[in-house]
Amino acid sequence: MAALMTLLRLGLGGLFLDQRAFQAQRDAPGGVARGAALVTLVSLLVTVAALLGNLGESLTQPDPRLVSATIHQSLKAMPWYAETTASLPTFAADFEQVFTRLNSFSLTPSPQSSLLGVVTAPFLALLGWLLTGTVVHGLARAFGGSARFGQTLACTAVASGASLLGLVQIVPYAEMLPGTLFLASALLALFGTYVAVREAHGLSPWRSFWAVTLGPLLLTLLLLVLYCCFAFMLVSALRSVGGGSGR
Amino acid sequence: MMELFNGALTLNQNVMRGLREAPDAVRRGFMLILFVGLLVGTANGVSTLIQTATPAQAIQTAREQFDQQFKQVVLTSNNPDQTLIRLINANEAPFFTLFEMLLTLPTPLPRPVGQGFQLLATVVSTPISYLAGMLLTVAVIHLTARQLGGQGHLQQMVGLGSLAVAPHALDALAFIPGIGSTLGLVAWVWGLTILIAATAVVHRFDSLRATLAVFLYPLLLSMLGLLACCVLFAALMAVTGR
Repeated sequence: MAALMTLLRLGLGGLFLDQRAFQAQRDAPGGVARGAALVTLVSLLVTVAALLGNLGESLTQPDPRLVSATIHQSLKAMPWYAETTASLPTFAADFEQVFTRLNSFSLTPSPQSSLLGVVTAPFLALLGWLLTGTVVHGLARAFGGSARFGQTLACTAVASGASLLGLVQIVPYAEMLPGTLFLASALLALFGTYVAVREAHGLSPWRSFWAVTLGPLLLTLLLLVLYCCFAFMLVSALRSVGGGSGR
Repeated sequence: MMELFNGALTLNQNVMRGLREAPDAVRRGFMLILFVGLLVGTANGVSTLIQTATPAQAIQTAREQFDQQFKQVVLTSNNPDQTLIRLINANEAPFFTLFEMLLTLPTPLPRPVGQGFQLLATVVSTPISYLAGMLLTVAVIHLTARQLGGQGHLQQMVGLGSLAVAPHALDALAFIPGIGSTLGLVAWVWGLTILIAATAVVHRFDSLRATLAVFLYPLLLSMLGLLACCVLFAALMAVTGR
């Protein structure tokens, strides 16, 4: 129980960007193991909270099939449907097609998918932590940092405390404005990683900034280049097909 | 907490300097956001709950809002599309019937439980919204301030930037018809003023440099956006001109 409380305090230290928490992790002998436990615990807590929230949502919502059937019948009974069908004979078939497609699409996460998340999230969080830690460590060392790999990992684990904001999902229908929770958590995690690098490697603010942001920036650039290449190839292929048929 | 809240609202330099030197500046700033967010969220949640307590009330509220917006669009338009107006008028009643049917569909738990959840969700979501907005703003301002030679730390900027949320306590009165939007604007301008003062204290800037740090990137982005719109418009004109 005491170990659990220590981990939670460490997580809260990360959430509040408390540099004493980062320094303690840097100097702790078992920092990496404690960091791994913290990352696992935080992701587990957040996904369980999301599961409970989704369960609450599904218990206070009508059956989706019933909702769909009600909308379908009511839309078809409206004057606009009769008018459009009279003026456009193919509209009825198109309407059914579009409605079937929309029907299979849902923005509300089901409790089943949340349950799957409880199992997979800790592994994904650990993987993400290891990957981020490795990239950040390499860049920090390139910028003149002096910390060992274990110290970087131990400190960046504290930044995962930012995800504790996700505990709010225990309340069904939380996050009325979509994306705000992700934005707040992501920015806080970025700030936490910056503090982690600064405290672990003793780098200047600008060097710490580049060590943290260069990785994501390069990844974005790479994705953008790949996207452009793909788009260029697609356009070329379409043109060659169009040119071929024109001849 | 109240001292910090009052200090933020009155732009008290001593309170800001005290927070800058505090080791737990971020925690105290976040607590202020939580306090304001819970206050505003509770007021807004209760107001929404009263307006949508029964399906009939929910439909009445939605109908009033729709009528108001529809009239506004028709009145402000120079040449309203008569076909569109006729279409909307013909389908308005069946649409609200559909809305009523959806609201009265059976749920596993009774409707008041869902409404209780919605109220709680509004209460807990408001601090998160304020926090996300503040963090995004602070990230941009801190970056600009460091480029302009500021020496403040990120934690100090986050802690003091949180003070800018204090005037948003006025958002708790947003449910009052007529003055809600005006109060929102007042809170926004007040918050911006606090943000400039906070930037000046954190980075030891004069007011001019702090104002520049706050406005530089938003202004540059607006100008770039405007330029992009002009280029796009010119390109469209060139294409359609051909």
